Amino acid sequence: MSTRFIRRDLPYVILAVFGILALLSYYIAIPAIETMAGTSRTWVVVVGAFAVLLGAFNVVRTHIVRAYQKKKDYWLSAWLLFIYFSMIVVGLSAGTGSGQYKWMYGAMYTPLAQGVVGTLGLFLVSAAYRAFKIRTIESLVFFLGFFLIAVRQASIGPLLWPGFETIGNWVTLWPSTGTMRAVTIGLAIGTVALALRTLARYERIGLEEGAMVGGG
Amino acid sequence: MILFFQGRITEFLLILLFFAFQVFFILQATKKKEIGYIRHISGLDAIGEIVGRATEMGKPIHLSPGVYAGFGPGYAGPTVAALSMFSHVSSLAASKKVPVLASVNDAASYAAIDEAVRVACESVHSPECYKSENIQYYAYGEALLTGVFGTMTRMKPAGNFLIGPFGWDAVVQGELGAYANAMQLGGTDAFANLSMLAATCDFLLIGEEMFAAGAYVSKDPKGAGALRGQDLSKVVALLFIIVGAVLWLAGNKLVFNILGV
Repeated sequence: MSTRFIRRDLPYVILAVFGILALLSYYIAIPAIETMAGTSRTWVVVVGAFAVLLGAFNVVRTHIVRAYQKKKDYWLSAWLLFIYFSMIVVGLSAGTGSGQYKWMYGAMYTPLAQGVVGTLGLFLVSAAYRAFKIRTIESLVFFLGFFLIAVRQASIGPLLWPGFETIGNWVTLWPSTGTMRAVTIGLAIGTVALALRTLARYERIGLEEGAMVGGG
Repeated sequence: MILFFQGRITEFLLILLFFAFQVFFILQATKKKEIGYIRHISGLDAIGEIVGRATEMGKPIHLSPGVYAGFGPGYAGPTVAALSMFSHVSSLAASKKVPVLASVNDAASYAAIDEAVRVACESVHSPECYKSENIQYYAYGEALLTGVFGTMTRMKPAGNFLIGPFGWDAVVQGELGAYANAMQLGGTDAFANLSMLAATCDFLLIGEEMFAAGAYVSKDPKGAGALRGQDLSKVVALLFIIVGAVLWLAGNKLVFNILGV
C-alpha cells in the first residue's frame, strides 16, 4: 500500500466503514450487525486510550523543552512535570485506591479545580456587563429578556409587582421555548447532514494530506 | 423476520432522503448546473476577517472546541463540526503565515486538531509554521481553563474560535478572549451556553450554521450543493411540522402515526 493511500484514503475508509456500521446498528435489527457495532465501540475505547497517551506525551515533551531551554516561567513547567510524575509514581506504587493517591487528588487537585470553577461567577458578571450595555435595538431586546427573567427569579420581583412573574413565565414558556425548538430542529438536521457528508467524504475534518485552502 | 427496530423505519427513510438531497445537489453543482440561492451566514463570512486581522497584527489565532469535546453520544456532532471548521481555519491561517494555537481537553480531538494544523502548514509548503507546543492538550476541564487563561494572557491572540460542545466554560473562555481583545467567533449546540457565547463573542453561529461551516467555507460547488441539500431537508421537516399540526388540529393523527412507524 502506498503512503498516500495510508495517510489520505485509509482514515476515510475506516471512518466510512465504522460510521455506516454504527448507523445501521441503530436502525436494523440484525444480530450480526449489532455484535460488530458493539465490538467496534470497544475498539473506540482502546483507540481512545492510545490518543490519551499521545496527549500525555505532548504535555511532557512541551514542558521538558520549556524547562530545559529555560524559557520564560520555566519553573512552572518544572513544577508541572514534578506533580505529573509524582502522581504517576504514587499511583503505580501505592495504587489509585491508596490513601496517598486519594490525598493528592482530593486535597491538591480538587480544591484547585473548584477554585477555577469559582471564577465562573466573576466572568458571568463581566459578561453580563458587556452584553447588556444598550447600544442597539438587539441589545435592548437582549437586556429586556434578561431583566424579565432575572426579576422573576429574584424573590423581590413578584413582591414588587406580581406582573413580573406572569410576564417572566410567558417569556420562558412561549418565545423562549418556541425559539429553542426551532433551533433544535435545525441542529438535528445539521447534525444528520454533517454526518452524511463526513461519511461520504464531502466534509474535511483535517485528515487530508495536501488539503488546500478553499479546496473540497 | 423483523428487519428494523420498532419506531425507527420512518426515521431511517428520512435520513436516506436527506442524504439523497445532498448527493443530488452536490452532483448538480459539480456539473455546474443551477442549484439556487445559498444564503449568507455572517458568522462564517467573518472567518476571513478574523484571520486577516491576525495577519495584520502579526498575532496568532486560538482554537478551542470546548470542555465537552469528544466523540461520545451527544458530543460527537458538534466536535466533528468544530474539527471541520478548524481544518479550514488552519488552512487559511497557514496560507497567511498566521500561527495557530489550540487548547483541547479531549485526547482524540487533540490528535485530530494537531493533524489538521500540521497538514494545513504542509499544504502551503511552510511546515515550519507548525509547532506541536502550540497545540496544547489538557487532561481536565479545569486544567483546560487555566491553560486558556495562560494562553490568552501571554500570547494575546488576535482571533479566537470557540466552536464545539461548550458547557460552563463558554462564558469563561469567551470572557478571556474578550479581555485579550481577540475578535471572536462562537458557536455551540448547547442553548444555555449559546447565550454566553452571544454575550462575549463578536460573531455567533446559531443552530445548524455551525454544522454548515465546512461546506460553506470551502467555497467550492460541492459545498454549495451540500448546503442546498441541507436547506431542502429543513423544508421537508417544516412541512412535516406544519401539515402534522394542521391535521392534528383537525383530529387526524396521520403524520404522528407515520413518524412513529
